[in-house]
Formats: sequence, structure tokens, C-alpha cells
Amino acid sequence: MLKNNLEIILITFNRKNFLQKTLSSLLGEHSPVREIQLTILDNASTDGTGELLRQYAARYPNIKHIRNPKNIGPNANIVHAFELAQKPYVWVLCDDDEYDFSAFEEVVAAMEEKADLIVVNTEFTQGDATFPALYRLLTFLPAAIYKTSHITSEVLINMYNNLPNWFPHLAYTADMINHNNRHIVSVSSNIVKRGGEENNEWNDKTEDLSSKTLPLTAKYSPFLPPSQKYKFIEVGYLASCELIQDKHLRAQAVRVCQPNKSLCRIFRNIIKQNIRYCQSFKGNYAIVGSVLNTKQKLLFFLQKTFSFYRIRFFFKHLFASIQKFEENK
Amino acid sequence: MILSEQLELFLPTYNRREHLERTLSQLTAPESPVRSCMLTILDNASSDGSSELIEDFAVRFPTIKHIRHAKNIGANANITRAFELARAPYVWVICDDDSFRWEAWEEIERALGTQRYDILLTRKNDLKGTSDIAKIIRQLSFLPAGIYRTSNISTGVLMNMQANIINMFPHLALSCEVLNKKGNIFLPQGEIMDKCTFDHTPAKICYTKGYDVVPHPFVQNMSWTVGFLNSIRMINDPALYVYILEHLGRHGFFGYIFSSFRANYTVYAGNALNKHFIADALPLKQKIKFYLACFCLRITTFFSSRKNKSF
Repeated sequence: MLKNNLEIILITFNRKNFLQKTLSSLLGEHSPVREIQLTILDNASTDGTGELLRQYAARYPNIKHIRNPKNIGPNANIVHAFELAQKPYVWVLCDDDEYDFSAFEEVVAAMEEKADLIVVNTEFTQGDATFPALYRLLTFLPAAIYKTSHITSEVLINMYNNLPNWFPHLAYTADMINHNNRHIVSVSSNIVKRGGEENNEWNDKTEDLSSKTLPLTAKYSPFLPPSQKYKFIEVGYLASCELIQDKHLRAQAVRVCQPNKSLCRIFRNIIKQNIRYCQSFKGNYAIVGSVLNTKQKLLFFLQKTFSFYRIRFFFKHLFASIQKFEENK
Repeated sequence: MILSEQLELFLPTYNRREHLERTLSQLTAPESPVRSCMLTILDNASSDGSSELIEDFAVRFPTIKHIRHAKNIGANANITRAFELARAPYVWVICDDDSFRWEAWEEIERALGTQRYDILLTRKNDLKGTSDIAKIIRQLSFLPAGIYRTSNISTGVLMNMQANIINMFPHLALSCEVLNKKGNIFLPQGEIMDKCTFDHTPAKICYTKGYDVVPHPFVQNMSWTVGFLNSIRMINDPALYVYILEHLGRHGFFGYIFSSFRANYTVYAGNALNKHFIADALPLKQKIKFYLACFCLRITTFFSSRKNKSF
């Protein structure tokens, strides 16, 4: 029954150790998903992931290994996963998370109920999978099991358009919110937990922002236009919020950008990061400005104008250019 | 040199059966020089019988391969897919509505054989063979106008392409990369593509290509011009970027903006984002010009925008 209903697609690139751990927990003796079809999209890894997967595919008949001829980047790989889905439900996984299948029966029950979205992580929704916390939660890719029939062309095209904004998969959730009569089921305890490298991704540690400021693309790209280079994770999330059509709901989604923080604080963080690591890139202000509603826009504008960091940045630049001018003379 | 080992063709298509039939029969005709090359057709889940037509061709010609996507993924994602799949040393991505004249093919084949070039243009330059870089990049915005060297398509370029899907010219990521690397570009004397017309219909209609979807808000406010200007932001060298902006139209940057934006200003004005991305890269003098131009356009189109707010 479960076999015909669910498929798992796992995306991976050059993380052999994490992948091995993930696979052994997915295929372990007590795992309820060990007989489900598992497709692994390998982004042309070079660290021996290919050999490992070949071994697994030989041992387990339900594993299918697809290797892209070139590394197409992590986000495109995510969209490929959604594109390949065929069974009624699809669960797209990353290679570095931890699993605890004690509440899996609820998922099976929800599938029988024909739920439109099954949330398997309750990190900050505390069980009630309601908007807007849901939108923020689902930035974490494996946090939900998606219904394939809702991945229409429209959703796929929006996913492709949302590729540069860090979270292409939010197009599905946005589509669901835009048609607000969908049935969402949330499990009572976490089935998937964040693990591995991105554990503290969104934590607001002011010392170490530089690592998360750079988008994933910067690792690979020979040259990125500034609009891409400087799009850090919060800006990516806010840009994804544009997919929500209802203005009121969009404003709510903006408010939970960094959970447990006031809007002022969120804006201040964004402005601070933008000045510290992105040379006060105007495009980011424009993106954020275009998502906000009038009231939020006003707040953002005020903060931007009177930000201590921005004034300091302005004078720094002014002095630097004066100095340069005098040297040239 | 064996052409079929050098060159690979891709053809993204969606629901244009009649055009496709003409294009395919031209490509497979006895006089076609590329009939021995591998031709992969990326069918975006067409529903008008294109798929049957392609299957028909695939049975008759062993060089034709048919890949049908389960769902429509959008025209530009389909173009990007072609570059992802390319394997042969050179790749030529053509559209489904092109027609060809093969008289001038010989020089291109010779140039392919030398392996010296990163891009081979298939169309004559507008300006009688001058190698003006601005005209070349404008030419290259037309997808089949270039035959590209596959080794340039790195992961970074692919990711830039994906990021540029939104700007409607994903392939310009590759062209810009070649310009950044100062690669060789071959300019032919003859013309292979039959005369093509550039379509100035608003993006919302063009982009979806007859497919009824609610597009991403950034795309809703996108016009061909803005997409193109955003795309050439991928050029590394600011001096070159400004040069290209200056020489895009017949009357400089101003001319280009006026001639192309006027039709699309209603779309464009809705999105301050596009304005920012363009203005941000300009030097101060041009920035002032640009804002002035925008201001003038806004005034001139104020009344017309009232009339046709929706397309």
C-alpha cells in the first residue's frame, strides 16, 4: 500500500559520509520506508559517491541512481526531483538529516485521508500547521511530503523562476496557500530533524554571518551578477514570499522571516548584513521593498535611512573617495 | 573532420506542430548538412500532436532522439535543459519555428573544424560584418544565432543560466561568460537563419507561450528589454558593459530605451526592481540620463497606461 503511494527522492553532492548515514537510517531494519522506491539524484559527485550508490543499488532493488552528466547546482537538482515524481506522494530529502520514524503511522493515515500536504517536522509550528509559520518551516526541504498531483506545470514553472531565491520548493506551498482550501496534516513528533552542516544556518550569530551571506551559487560561479552574488538567505526568503498572492498573508509571511524576532529586529539584521557583506547593495533593498506592504515599507525605509551602519558606511565611502581623489591629484 | 562528432543539435518545442514539421523536414532533408548530427528534441509535454509527429520522425531517422517531459516546465527551463544535456564539443540549440538556408554553411563547417572558436554566429551581423561587440550580444539573444562550445558550460555557467531563467534569456549566461573570458567569436559572411522577426509583444504573453499560468511576480513584470538588460549584467568588465549599453540601439542607450521601453513601460513601471538592477550598474552620468529617461517615459505613457492596464 505504502509502496504504491509514496516515493522518496534524495538529492546529493559530494557528501559521501553524510549520505551513507542517511541511507543506512532509511534502509535500516526498523525503517518503515525501506521498501519504498528511492531515487537518488547525484549531482556528478567526485568524491566516490557514485561507487557507493552503485553498491547500494546492487544490494537494494528499490534504489535507483540517476547521475547528472554535469553538476547543475543544488537548487536545480531539487526542481528535477519534483519533476521526476510519479507516485501520488513524493518526499524530497537532503543527504544530511536525521530520522526518527516513531510517528510514521500518522503519515500513512494522512495518505489514506488524501491530505494535500503532510508536514513531518514540527520545529516551530508546534503541531498546528497553519500559515504563516508553515511557510517559514517549509524552507526546510524534507519537512513535508508533497502531493504529486498538485505539482502542476504552473508550480514547476514558478519553481524554476524561484531558483535563484534559495527556496524553489516554496512555489508548491505558495500555490497551496493561494488555493486556500487544501487539507494539511501535521504529525505530532519530528520524523526528520535538521542535521549536518546547515544545523545553525538561520541562527542569528553576528560573528559568523559571512558564510551564510554568500549564496550557494558563489561557490561555483566564475562570475555572478550582483543581484545573485549578494542575495543572502533572508533576502531569498523574502523574495520567495512574493509568490503569495494575498497581500495580507504575504505580510504575515514576512513577519516570521526570523522566528521570535520583531519586525524591527529582522529589518535591522537585513540592513546590517547587507552593509557588512554586500557593499550596501541597492538591489537587496529593492527586493525587500517590493515584497513589503505599505506599513512595513515605511518602517523599512525609516530604518534604512537612519541606520547607524548605513550612515557609517556612507561616511566611510565618502572619506575613501576623497582620499582617492587627492591621491590622483 | 566528421561533423556528426563535432556538433550536436537540440530543439526545445511546445505545441507548435506546423512550425515544427517544417523545421524538422528541413533539418532532415537530403541537402541538409546537419542531417548526420544527433538531434535531441525536448518536448515540453505538448498536447497538440507534436509528440506523435516527433515519434514519427524518430522512427524514420536514427539521429533523432525524443525526450518528452512529464509536465510543462516552461520554455526557458527547457532551453537550460538543452545546455545541461549537451555532450558533443559544440552545441546548437534551435527553436521550433526556424527555417534555414544552407548555402552559407560551408564556412561555418570549416570554422568548426578549426576548433578555435567559442561561439560561431549563424547570422550575418546587422552592421555589414563589423565586429561590434554590442551588436554581437544583441544578435546572440536570439537563441539559434550561436553555436556554442560545450566545454565552456561549467557548473557556474549553468547556475547563472538557471538564475537567468527569470530574465528570459538563459543562454546569455554562456555568451557573457565567453565575453568575460575574451573567447573567440566567429562571424560568418553569409546567413543561415532565414529572416526572423523580433517580437515586441509584452512578456506576460510571450513568456508563457500560450500556456495559461500564473507566473512568478518577477516574471509578470518582465519585458524582453528588461530581461535583456538584466542578462547583460553578467558581463564582468564595467567598461565593456557601459560600451554595450551605449551601442545597443542606433541612437545610443537613450535610443534603445526609448524604442523598446515605450511599448513595455506599463509593465516595467510596476516593478521598481528592474529599474534598480539596471541603474545600479551605470556610471553616474548615465544613471542621471537613465532616471531622466524613465521620468519622461512615465509622463508620456501615463495616459496610455490608464487605457490598457491589462494586456
